[in-house]
Amino acid sequence: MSFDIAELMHGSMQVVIAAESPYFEGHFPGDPILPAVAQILLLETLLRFSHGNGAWISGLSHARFVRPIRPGERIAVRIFLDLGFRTKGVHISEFTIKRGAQEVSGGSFLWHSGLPA
Amino acid sequence: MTGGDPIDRLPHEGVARFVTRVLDRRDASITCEAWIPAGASYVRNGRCSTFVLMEAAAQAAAVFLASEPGAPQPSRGYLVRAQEVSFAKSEVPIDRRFETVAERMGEADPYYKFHIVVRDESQMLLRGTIGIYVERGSATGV
Repeated sequence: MSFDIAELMHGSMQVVIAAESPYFEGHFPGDPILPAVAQILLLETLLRFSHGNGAWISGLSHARFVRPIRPGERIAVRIFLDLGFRTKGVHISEFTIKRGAQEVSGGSFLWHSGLPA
Repeated sequence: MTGGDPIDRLPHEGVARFVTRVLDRRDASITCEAWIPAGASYVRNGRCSTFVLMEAAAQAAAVFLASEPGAPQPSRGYLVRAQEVSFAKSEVPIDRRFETVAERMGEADPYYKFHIVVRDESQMLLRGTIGIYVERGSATGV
């Protein structure tokens, strides 16, 4: 992980995306923005903190990436774990990524706990 | 197809560029070869999370748009939506070639919708729908 996690709790974390973060490398020269898949990696990091290293994201029901995240920005990542349901070992949770009060990304995703169903 | 290799119109450089070659281009779809560079930040112990392959599919969609006859140049595409995208496994080894297909499902310029599939030699790894927002006047990117 190459994110500067300022605060980490069950279901939420505050992250500063350092200007020198390698996730900006080549994406894009002269106009760096954080790739959408790096945002999903943030979700997975938070998910694993809350549910263990075996947890993994198995799908995106719907996700919107509506505003770019640029170097040096501080964002808040939140997963609404308790809203999910479970069937055959699959959970569904909603998420938001915000910069201040402004949502930059959001949606819902499917995940496995990594434990036997 | 407009002149030159459309992959060269991607603004991704170095470890951020996953798509390496166009294998097939049709009226409504494109098939590309993709590799995850070993030096990419997503790689740990020679593997990466399967969702990282969504970036390869988005790049294929961007290459499709860049190779449209009469496509405005330059332009940049952003991955702004993902819908019903499923990942077959938690992670994949990166020491292999991936094949990514992006099929245009609809458009309301500057927004384009693609059905995407990513597979390796043995199995399908990812499938679903993504939305690309195209900004004219900058290099093509996702």
